[in-house]
This record gives sequence, C-alpha cells and structure tokens, in this order.
Amino acid sequence: MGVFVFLPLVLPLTAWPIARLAEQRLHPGTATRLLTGVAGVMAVCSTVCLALLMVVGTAQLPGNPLPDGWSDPEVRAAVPYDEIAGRAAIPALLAVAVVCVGTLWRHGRVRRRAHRALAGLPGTGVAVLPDETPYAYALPGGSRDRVVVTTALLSCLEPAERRALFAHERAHLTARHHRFLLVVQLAARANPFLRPLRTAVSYTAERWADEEAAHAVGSRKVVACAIGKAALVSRNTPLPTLAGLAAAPGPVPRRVAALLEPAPAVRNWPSLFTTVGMATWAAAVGTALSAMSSANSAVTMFLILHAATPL
Amino acid sequence: MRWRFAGEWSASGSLYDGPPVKCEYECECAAAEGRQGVTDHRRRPRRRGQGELEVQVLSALREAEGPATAGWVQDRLGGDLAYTTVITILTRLLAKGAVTRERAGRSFAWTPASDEAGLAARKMRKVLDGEPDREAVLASFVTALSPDDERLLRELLGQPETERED
Repeated sequence: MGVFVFLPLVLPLTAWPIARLAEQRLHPGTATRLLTGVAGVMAVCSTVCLALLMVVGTAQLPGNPLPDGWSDPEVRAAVPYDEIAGRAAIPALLAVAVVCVGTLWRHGRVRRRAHRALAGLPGTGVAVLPDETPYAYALPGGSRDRVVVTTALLSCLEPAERRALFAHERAHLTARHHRFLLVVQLAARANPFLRPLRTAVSYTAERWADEEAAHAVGSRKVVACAIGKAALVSRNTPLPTLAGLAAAPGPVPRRVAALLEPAPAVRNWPSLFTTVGMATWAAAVGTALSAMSSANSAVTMFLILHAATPL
Repeated sequence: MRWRFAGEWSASGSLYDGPPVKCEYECECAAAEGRQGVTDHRRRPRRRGQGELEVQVLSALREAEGPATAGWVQDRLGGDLAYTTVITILTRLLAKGAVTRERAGRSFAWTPASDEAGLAARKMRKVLDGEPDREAVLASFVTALSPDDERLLRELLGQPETERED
C-alpha cells in the first residue's frame, strides 16, 4: 500500500473547499448535515488509521499483549517507515483519546452545571435571568430543553425581535443542533485538519436556526435586526476569540447579510452547468472520494492484520 | 449583584416583562413597525411614579443585611419620603408578594421575597465565566464582534456610527 496508508490522516485537507462552498451556496440545513457527516467519517477513518499504524509499528515491542502475527514482516511491509510511524502513532493516538474524552466530559459538565443553576426556577421552556450582561442561548437537555435569556438582552429588542430570538433558540433545540456541533468538535480534536469544518458547521447551524426563525416570525428583516442589535449590545462582553486576526467578516455580519437577502433555495444542489455548480460538484466528488479512500485504507489495514492473526 | 428596573411594575405582578432598562440601539425596521412608548417616564424629571418608588424601596430592602424596618428603609432612601409613604409602598409590595414581613416588637421587619431568578442568574454567570470555551457547548445567539464587524453590521442595519460607550 505504501504511503497510501497515511492518506486518511491528510485527506481531510480536501474537505476545506467543500466547507467553504457549502457554507455559501447550500441551504444551511443541508450544509450542516453534509459537513457534519463528512467530518465524522473522516475523523473516524483517521483515528482508525492511527490505531492501526500504532499496532503495526509497535507490535514487535517486547511485552505487548498484541498477537505476534501483527508484526510479521509482510504486515510491516505494508507500512513504510513502520518504526517511526508506529512510535509516532502512540502519542498521537493517546492525545486524540485524551482530548476527545476531555471534550465530552466538559460538554456534559457545562450542561449539568447550567441545568443545576436553573433548578430553582419554574420548569418553563424559557428561563429569563435578571442580568446586566446580554446573552441568550439554547440549553439542551431532553425533556428539560430550555432557552436561557437575560433581561438585558430582552430589553433591547422589540416584541417581534424577541419572538425571533426565541424562535431561533427553539430551532436549535428542536433540530438538536448541539449534536452536530459536538460531532464536528470531536472530529476537529481527532484530526486538526478538520477544524475548518467545525467553524463551517457552527456557522451553518446558526444560519439554519436563523432561517427557521425567519420562517416562524414571517419576516427575514426582523430576525436580521434582532441578531444585529443583540450583537451590538453584547459587543463589550468579553469572549475568548481571535477576532483581531480575522480579516474576513465575522459570522454575525455574514448572518445578517444573508438574512437581508432572499431566502436560500430549498433545492439543495446547484446545477452542474454553472461555474458555481461545477466547483461545488467537483469539491463534493473530491470529498466523497477522499472519504472513501480513507475508509478503504483503514479497511485494507484491518484486513491485513486480520489475515496475519492466527486464529 | 444588583439589578434594577427603570419601569413600573406590570399589572400582573410579574417581575421581568417591564420596559427596557436601557437601550441605545435602535434600527430602522423597528422604528417602522412602531415602537412602544418606552422612555416616556424619563422625560418627567421629578414626578416619580408609584412603580418607581416600589423599585427603590425593594432595592433598598435588598441591600439590607437581613430584615429591615420601615424606618431603616426611609433613612436609606433619603429624607424626602414620608414614613407613611414607605409603609404604604411596603404594604403594596407585600400584596404583590415581592416582600414578606414579620412582627418585631411593635413594628414589622421587612425582607424581600426570595429572589430565585437573581440567584439563578448569578449561578449561571459563574458557570459561563468558568467555561472559557463555552461557545463550543452552548449555541449562543450571537458571537463576539471585531471592530470591522461592528462597522459592517451598522452599515447593514442602516444605523449611524455611534460613540462607543462603556
């Protein structure tokens, strides 16, 4: 197989162009699902590949519990630089495992603590907190789904805009957007090359909720105003971002601009016979191919090892 | 943490559906759709409404360490309120369930009703402040703006550039 064994580790790079195109051209719901799927598949392939490399490269280490057949010369021949790759794969795989578990744990902890903070309030779907810091978010929790919003934010919005805000947050909860976000977050931890997909999905998920809100309220402009006002009023809220480094417009102006334009077509894919369509399709096909070859490499490695295992 | 309301108590007695605390940001579509008379009471400089007094009395009570007498509240608010006015307002707050009282000697000691929403808000702030990467967990309505974003956003919403107030 030669260097193709390493392909699943670097192929996520090919998902960047499709992330960019999907973000701009597809309906946000479609884009979210597509990009999350791609990120998930690629992350799994890359991690499996890492695990197999580690097995092949280190099975000959004395005292390991792995079958001896896994370090046969034929198996090791499948992996170039098996010594180095195998050794490098151990810390890499450990790092991936630690970071992913940490991410899951933190996710659970924040949700638990946020629910506990709201425990004293009546169990309504909306929790209004008297706080001078304007913020609002959707707190997922199965039957205890809640929209959390502060009085400072509500006081800056007109009644129609408040409805837009609630519709937006409820759209997050009903479509279970936090699951998509968690998947891409884990994927970005498993393979740093997948980070652009994470950024893209967090943007498309917001856009998705914006579109749902615009549909529910019946006015795109009201939603745009609600987002704009909320962003302007919370601009002093300290948030850990690298905003200073971003030359391109941030997500909020892009969301507002998108809402001030007509609704995106529900027809999901552009025609092949336009420039945009060709680019999108090329990127999509490329990504699909890379995902498949990732999977192929992983499966091949697995089969080699399986064949080499005496049963 | 202290919070206060510029507006009146609403008729329902509910705490947080009152008019805005402050809002400097308006955008044209809101103006077009007709806004409520949000800042009317600010234009009348010295005629305090009942609601405003209730808010003052309540926030004074919240600053007290434990139960406070009406006299204490009167001192706290400065001299221009009659004792009977304070009693009237406290009684009205009692009827709304915003304060409780217990007999202490010949008068009553007043305590604000438990402020569950305020408590939840403080706890939530602790959770959020303790989580540097909370954007990763909770889908926030808006994310931070860079100065460029801010300018762009104002252009999009058709608002003039305003002074940055902190």
